Amino acid sequence: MENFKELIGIQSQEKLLARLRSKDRRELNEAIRDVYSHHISPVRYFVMQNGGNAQDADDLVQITVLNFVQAVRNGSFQLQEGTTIEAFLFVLAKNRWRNTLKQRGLMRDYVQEMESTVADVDFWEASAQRIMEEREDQERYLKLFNLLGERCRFILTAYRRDGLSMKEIARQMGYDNERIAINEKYKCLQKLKALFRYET
Amino acid sequence: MRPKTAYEQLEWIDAYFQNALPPQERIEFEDELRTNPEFAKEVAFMQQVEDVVDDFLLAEMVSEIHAEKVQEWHAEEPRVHEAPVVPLHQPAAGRVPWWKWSAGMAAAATIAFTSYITLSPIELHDSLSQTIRGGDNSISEQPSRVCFENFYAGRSFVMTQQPEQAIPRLQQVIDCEVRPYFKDASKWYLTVAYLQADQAQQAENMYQEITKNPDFQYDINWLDKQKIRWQIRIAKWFGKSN
Repeated sequence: MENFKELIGIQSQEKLLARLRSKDRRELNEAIRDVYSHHISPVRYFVMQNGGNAQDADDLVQITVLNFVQAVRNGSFQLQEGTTIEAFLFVLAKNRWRNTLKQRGLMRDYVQEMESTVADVDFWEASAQRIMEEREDQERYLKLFNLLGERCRFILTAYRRDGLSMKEIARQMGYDNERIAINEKYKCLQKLKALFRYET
Repeated sequence: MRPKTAYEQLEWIDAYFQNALPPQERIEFEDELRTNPEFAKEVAFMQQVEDVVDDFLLAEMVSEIHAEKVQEWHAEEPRVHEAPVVPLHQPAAGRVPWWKWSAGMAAAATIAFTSYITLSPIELHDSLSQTIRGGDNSISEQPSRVCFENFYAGRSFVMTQQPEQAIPRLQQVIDCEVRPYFKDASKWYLTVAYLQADQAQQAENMYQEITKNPDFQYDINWLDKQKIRWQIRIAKWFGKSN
């Protein structure tokens, strides 16, 4: 019970947010696991009770957690007194699910009912809406990044993911020296720049 | 020193982002950033790359964790498509006098019903009565959105058998300024949550509060009332709810 109190207490929520903002990937990994273990199950259940199957629920959980962590890390999400992370996750998921149902032409009574509950100015609702719009932009860039191919993605992410130096990256890629790896990185960046330019 | 080639410039920007430039060079970098629009454009692009790499790595991490968790969830969920076991031979029924047969059936029915109300979970209806609670138009007048979120989250936690998460949320709904329908529904969910949490006495107190209230608005069916009464009794006898 004490653990539980600590878990839902504001101070503990702030701690979780701090861990989600961490640059230490191990700490971040554990914090995301905590979000999965303690805060996300209502979202999953909500989808399954509102016109979705287990696959829909799982997909929505994944995108909700990702968007939430991104919002925490880039400062778009700020915890307000008297509110909970879980409530925010719920609003975020609900908005996405409402859009999915609309796209599928399955707008049901309970969704309309929920819309009426949040029609007025509401902090979470506005915040969730803003985050969703921000994410749409970022997701476009992420798709372009994925077009780069595995080799470029490895070169551009290895330092951040595994802390590899250009020398180590060169060794792993089978290049003769570090210079070739830097050259490759440059080419990958030029390719990415062209993709971004094409998009905008 | 301002780099001369494009490669050197790339390394210079990387070093700046990684806080690896010495203080004097850092000042030089920032001067260049202010005065050279072409360079500023390049730095902005590199910042964008940093953000996308961040997103990519985060999506990769969430995806890995998600795959593990989904496996766990699906392992915990009951398998609904298992084929029923069909016996190859039906045992031949011997001749039994009618009164023995009737007594046996009555005993079996009693045992079956008792087992059912002891072991079967309490039905928690997901749909809420629109008429009783006041209809769509008035919901937006709810003074507290937090109460509403607590209600939905609390109910979900009861349904997913997480009473420790459900209890404090539902208790808050009872103390909220919300329609009696929601308070009453919360009391019912809370009774079930207490039982799930092996808090038989609290479950009984809450259930008595429900039964003593003539204006109770949340609809609980007869069978669920029998189940909760019986399960509370069992929990008190054996010191646990299940």
